[in-house]
Amino acid sequence: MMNNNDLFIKYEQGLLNEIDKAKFERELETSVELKNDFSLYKAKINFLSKGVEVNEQYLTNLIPNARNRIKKEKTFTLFPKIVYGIPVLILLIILTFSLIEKNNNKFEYNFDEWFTSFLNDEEIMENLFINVLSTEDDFLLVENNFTEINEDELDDLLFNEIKNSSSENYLNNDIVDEEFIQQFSPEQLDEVYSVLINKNIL
Amino acid sequence: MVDKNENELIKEFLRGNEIAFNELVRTHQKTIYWHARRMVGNHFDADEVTQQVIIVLFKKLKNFKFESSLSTWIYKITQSRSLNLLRQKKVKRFFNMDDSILQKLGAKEDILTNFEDKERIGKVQKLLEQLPIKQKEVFVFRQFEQLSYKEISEITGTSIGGLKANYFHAAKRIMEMMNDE
Repeated sequence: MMNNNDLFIKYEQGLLNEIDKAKFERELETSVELKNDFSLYKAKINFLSKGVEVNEQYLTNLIPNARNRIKKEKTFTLFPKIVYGIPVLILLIILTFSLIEKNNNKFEYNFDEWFTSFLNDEEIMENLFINVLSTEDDFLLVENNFTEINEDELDDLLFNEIKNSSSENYLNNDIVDEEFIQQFSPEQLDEVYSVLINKNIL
Repeated sequence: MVDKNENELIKEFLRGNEIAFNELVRTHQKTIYWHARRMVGNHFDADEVTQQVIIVLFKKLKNFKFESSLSTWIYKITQSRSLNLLRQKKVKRFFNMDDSILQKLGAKEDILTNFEDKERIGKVQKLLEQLPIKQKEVFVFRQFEQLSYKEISEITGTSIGGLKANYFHAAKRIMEMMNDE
């Protein structure tokens, strides 16, 4: 059973066939109740679409506002590549440098680690003194791979090394600086040699 | 077909006369605004859609083919922009990024000056919000813009039969809701 609202909507929208439409119009003329209902329906529908007073200032400003946005969009589309490009480029440079730096450090570290891994403690110590440590880092690296440093052992090794080296080599080597030796007069040097010989160091 | 005067205005604008563009916009701005407002439900978003439509007109009027009416073309743009905005809002709501605070702030700058109108439009918006998008679309075009089913079909791409069915359900639902009040 179709209710009145359905009938009114269909009638208003031309959705009724000719027979139903004629029947509805006849009833509308004879039935006061249907007529009232139809009036109420129309009032409700009109309530929805009734015109409104609007702020004309808003409408006046619409075009200037839209134009401002168009201008902003134009300037924005000119610069975005530069605006975003610069920080991206800086980031890429930083990233590239940090990667290169990291790889270099990794290589150096890996080489030293690899090298020392072949040596036992004694060999590491010999290496330390024979080849002379180039940097403090090298020393720390060797030290890290060295399980236990025995002070006496170190002294013995140093003593043996000096003892086995010729005095000339010893004095001309890195252990004693040449400039340091030149500070002494031949007499003073003789005295030092004598003391060293007497103490069985040389 | 395009109105002869409008046709001239479009050609004038395409020749570089921006006053002609302003004239065209003034003719259609109320229609754009009110259609957007009924679709999106508030002044804040309707203003956004209206400005977007004006920008699109400014940029794309050179692509306008004089085969259909300019108002049909404008309705198409307004409708698609309104639907896009509704979709964006749905996504934002899903991710809890709704800009309802901004809307409330924007509501203070409403286009309506009369308190009675504000109340009535508020009620209408609430009713329209209850409708599925397809029903709301046809109801707004038919009830408020007074467009024929053929015109609505041209704008929305929906068959006339489908539009009639959607209108019937929309109107029925609106009447039910009004009776319940």
